[in-house]
Amino acid sequence: MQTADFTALTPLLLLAAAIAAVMLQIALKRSHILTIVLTLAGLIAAMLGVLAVGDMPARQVTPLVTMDRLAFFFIGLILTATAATALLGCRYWEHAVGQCEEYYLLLLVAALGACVLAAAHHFAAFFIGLEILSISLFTLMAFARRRMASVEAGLKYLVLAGISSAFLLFGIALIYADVGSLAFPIWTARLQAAGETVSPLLLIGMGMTVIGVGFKLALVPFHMWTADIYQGAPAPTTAFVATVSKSAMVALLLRLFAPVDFTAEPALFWTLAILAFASMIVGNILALRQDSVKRILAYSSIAHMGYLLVAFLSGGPAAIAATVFYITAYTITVLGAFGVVTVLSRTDADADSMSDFQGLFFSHPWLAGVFMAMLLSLAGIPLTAGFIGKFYAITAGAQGGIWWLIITLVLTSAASLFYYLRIVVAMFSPPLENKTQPPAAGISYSGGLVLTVMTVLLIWVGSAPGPLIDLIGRITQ
Amino acid sequence: MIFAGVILSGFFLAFLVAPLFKVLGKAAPWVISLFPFSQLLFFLMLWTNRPHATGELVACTQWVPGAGVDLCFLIDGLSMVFMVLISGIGGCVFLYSKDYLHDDPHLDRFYSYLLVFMSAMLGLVAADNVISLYVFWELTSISSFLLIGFHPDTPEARRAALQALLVTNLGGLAMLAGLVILAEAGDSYYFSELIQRGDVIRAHPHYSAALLLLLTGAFTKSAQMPFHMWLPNAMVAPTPVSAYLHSAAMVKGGIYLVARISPIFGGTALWFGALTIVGGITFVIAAVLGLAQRDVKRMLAYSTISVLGMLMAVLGIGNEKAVQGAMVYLFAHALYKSTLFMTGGAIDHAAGTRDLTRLGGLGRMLPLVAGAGILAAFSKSGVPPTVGLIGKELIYEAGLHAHSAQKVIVAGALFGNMFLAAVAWAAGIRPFVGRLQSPEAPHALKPMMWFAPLVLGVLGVALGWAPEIVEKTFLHAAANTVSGHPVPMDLALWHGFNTAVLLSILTLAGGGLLFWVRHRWRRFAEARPWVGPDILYDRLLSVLKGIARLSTRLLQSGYLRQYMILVWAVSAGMVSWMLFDAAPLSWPAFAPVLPHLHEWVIGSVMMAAAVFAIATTQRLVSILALGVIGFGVTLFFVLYSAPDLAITQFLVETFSVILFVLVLYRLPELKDRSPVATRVRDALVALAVGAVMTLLVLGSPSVQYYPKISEYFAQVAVSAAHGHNIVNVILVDFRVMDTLGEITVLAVAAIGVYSLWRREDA
Repeated sequence: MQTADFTALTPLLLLAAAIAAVMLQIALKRSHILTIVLTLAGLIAAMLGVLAVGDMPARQVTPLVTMDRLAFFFIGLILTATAATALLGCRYWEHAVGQCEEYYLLLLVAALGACVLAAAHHFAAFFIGLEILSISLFTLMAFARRRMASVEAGLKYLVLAGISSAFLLFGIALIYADVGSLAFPIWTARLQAAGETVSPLLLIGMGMTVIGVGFKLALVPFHMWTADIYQGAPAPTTAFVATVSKSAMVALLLRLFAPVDFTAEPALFWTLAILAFASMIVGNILALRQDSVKRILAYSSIAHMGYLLVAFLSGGPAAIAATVFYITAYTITVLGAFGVVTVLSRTDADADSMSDFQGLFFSHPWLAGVFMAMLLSLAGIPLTAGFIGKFYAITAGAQGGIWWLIITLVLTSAASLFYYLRIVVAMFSPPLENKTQPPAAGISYSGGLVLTVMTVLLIWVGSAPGPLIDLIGRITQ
Repeated sequence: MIFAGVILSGFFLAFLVAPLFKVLGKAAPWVISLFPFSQLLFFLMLWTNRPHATGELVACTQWVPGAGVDLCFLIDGLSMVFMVLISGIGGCVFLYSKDYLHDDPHLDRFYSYLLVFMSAMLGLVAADNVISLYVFWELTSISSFLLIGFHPDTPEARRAALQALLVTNLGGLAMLAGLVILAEAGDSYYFSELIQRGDVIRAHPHYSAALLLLLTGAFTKSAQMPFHMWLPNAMVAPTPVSAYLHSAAMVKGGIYLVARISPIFGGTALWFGALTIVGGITFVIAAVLGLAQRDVKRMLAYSTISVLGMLMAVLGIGNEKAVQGAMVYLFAHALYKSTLFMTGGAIDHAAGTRDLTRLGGLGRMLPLVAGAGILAAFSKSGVPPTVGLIGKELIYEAGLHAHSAQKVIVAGALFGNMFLAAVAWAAGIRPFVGRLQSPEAPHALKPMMWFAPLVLGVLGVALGWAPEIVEKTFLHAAANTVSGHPVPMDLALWHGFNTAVLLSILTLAGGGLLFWVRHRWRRFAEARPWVGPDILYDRLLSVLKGIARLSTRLLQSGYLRQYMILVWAVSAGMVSWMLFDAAPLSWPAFAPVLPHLHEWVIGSVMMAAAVFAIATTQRLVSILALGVIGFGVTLFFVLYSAPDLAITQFLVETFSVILFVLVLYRLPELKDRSPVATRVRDALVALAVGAVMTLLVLGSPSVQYYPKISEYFAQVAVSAAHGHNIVNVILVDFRVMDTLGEITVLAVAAIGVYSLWRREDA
């Protein structure tokens, strides 16, 4: 390895150093505040690393990872989301029973795995990144050990992620048997050379890879873990799963399938298109009847990944830009939404049922306003980031001529407004009598900071998306 | 740039309302009410001093680069009519709200919402870019949602707000899709350019789809049947909201859209058919239903729906007279309908009810309100000299000028207008005349509650005397814009005796008759339960919820085992589809080699163990049987000379059996077995997965494998690493980083185990 390789790896190295530092700190002296400071310092250092080397020409470091602009963009996104999760965790774990310093350590490890996924250039890097991420997630989900739901969530994820990993490994083996290499470019080159007469092993391997990716993105029918885990896991973990894990997987999706010409690969196109279609329909239908806000957000995340696939499947350069924009807007929105849920949570249980949010407008008008902005963004209402994302998806889809998916997108988003508005209406309803109000002490500074930043970003990206679009245009060209 | 600033400044002012109320107190509403009037003045000055006689483009700023979305505003006659109405009536409503909601503690929030709505509506009618049109469109829906639910403590208000937003949002999304198709077909995102390309778009294969999607949007916004139910329900909103959003401004958004795209899409059979049928049916039915209402606001809401239907139908006819009639009537309707809402609100305030059957003779107490109401009712029913009459006659003329068979429209218009005239008198005149009837002793009203409606009511009559003022300023230009080419226009009250005049007289006569029998009609209608779209909306929602409940039960039981079954089944299905359909494997020719005896024996033992594992009722036995299968596999590895694999398999098998036993030790005995149906299902899924995997493995030998990596190591072990023990060379040379990593992982794991152990002790 040369110096330039290390330079290109700066963000990952800094993150790894932060992990070691936090681990040592916990071993030497337990202190919640110190851990948080170290964690944030590590994340900020890694972000500065991204800024410092992000404009370098793309460089392949070892056969495993490629540090290009796309990788740096997603690493930046992952680091930001991780920092937001850590900040949200401050107040959340402060009064929790037992020690909580390891939470931040696991967050950093999971973020490292996600960063490796975002830069993966090789199936081995894919699998290693995926497992680093997943194994940390099991623990992050089960971290509230005294809550049965939390432990159940971790266990369910463990088993289902195990199955999907098994499929993925089988798929990778089949692809290797056919291609003779695990590097992504060789695989895609082989796919393009084959055209429609793609060999069966390669195709089945690809299908099994899709199962692995679909599981992490929670596409129907590999979505079943989503609702139970979103609801059971502690709110900051849910925010992390919904943003970091998904954006890393979207980066990987782009690496794996963006060079593929879908018109020449109808089998792959139809597999993904059916997953997108089913996700949009099932995700939205399942959300309709929920009374748990976390479950609603879980099902809506399923639908949103369907929308994202519509943008992705449209093909061409607009598709990649639209996909990257969509996941960015989605990350901002979901961090804000789960930020509100976290801020409202009590030590014994998360704010979850509709009644926890009833009358929020009267007790915490700003919090209600932020949550409403986030929900409207999820519904794709103008002047929010979510609208621009959805608009880009529709435009990309229209350019690609996948009308049936666009019509599904439009109809299901119209239906989705119903359940988002149910939450809004609940917030505006008069507060329940004799109900234990959320923490009267008010919102912590850290939580307030996250919510403010996310709201500003949401409105900024929604009303003046120019800079972000330019940036994405530069990284996807 | 200045123009964009003036339009968008309302958004910023909306955030300043609360501080303004803090600083200025009671004077704040006056200051805020000045805002729309100053906007009105600005628009009029800008328009009268325009450099070109036709439309002009003002202010463009980049917004979403790469997708062709800018903030461009197009000012022409059509936008001008709407902007004048929005800012002018907006100002009157602002004044009216001041006294109507004078004791409401959240008056500042009310003004904020109103300002957001007003700016969004101005942006909507001035937007040149189709996407920014959609953005403003949705913003009006959102502000309408907030305003309908302004007093969210009643479930009716919450339901109505939600319903209005759901219906208009559904249409809005359809419109967005239509706009995108339109922009792709016309290769431009700007109305100013699309208008030039009407021929191309009308010949485009996606013409019908785009038009129908756009019309869906317009129909939901303008409350056309069958989407109309949200508007009567929205009457739970405070009266200024009904007077502004739900009669004068927001519901006209659909009319605006249709008028805007008329030069692009108009003139085809589909255009004519869709608009006249939907508009015509809405017009007649809503007028008939309107007369059967008790609540003055609901009655007015139905008559608004009806008029919107008429405007749709007239725009569908699209001849010169029709376009003129649409513009004039639109203007007249905005004036008189918001007046009638405001007088209705004043009556409600003074007498404590909106039930028309319990009201009468209030004119003596509220003479100025009565004056406003009566003037507006004259304009609405088409009594001379009002601007309403001019509009109505133009619409009759449009019908008379239509092609032969389409003249049937005239009959429909006459029928509907009779009902509308009766509604006008019932809502605008009857409460003020006759014997005094009022549940509460009517009290005097604050000045703005009669001043605001009176201004608009008087305007309706004054402009009837002198229609050329508005004609010259903007109505003529608007008619030109909608027609797509200059049309002659000459508005006057009296053009000599012709068929239209005769029809107007007939309307008034029929209206009088209906007014006479209206109570009988109301009692007749009330006695019958109507299955309207409102009930269908509820049913649709409950059906959706039922589907949701069902699919939740099927897909989201919460049981891990069911999730796993689904994953396995889908994966097996997908693989088998690829295996047989998408890319069939070429099956190798199997040479019939019979296995040896010991292979038979091992195989039979494994199969027997598999059956046993399923059949037994004891967990421990089941696990041991599974272990037997694993050891069988180990034996096969040994037989086929793969000792390393055999050892690995042996260790893993042993380890997992031990782990299982440790876990099972704590589990209860397996007593109840699943029902037969479940077991059959599980068996089918298991067999399918097993079969697919077997086929996949059987098919794999046909694939050519790549050279083994071990050969490479054997070749270079001595030359590159100077070592003769290849395994050692691999571990410490070729994969030295891996080895280091493995050692580190083991060390970390050991530390973890140790620390856990210590914590358990403590």
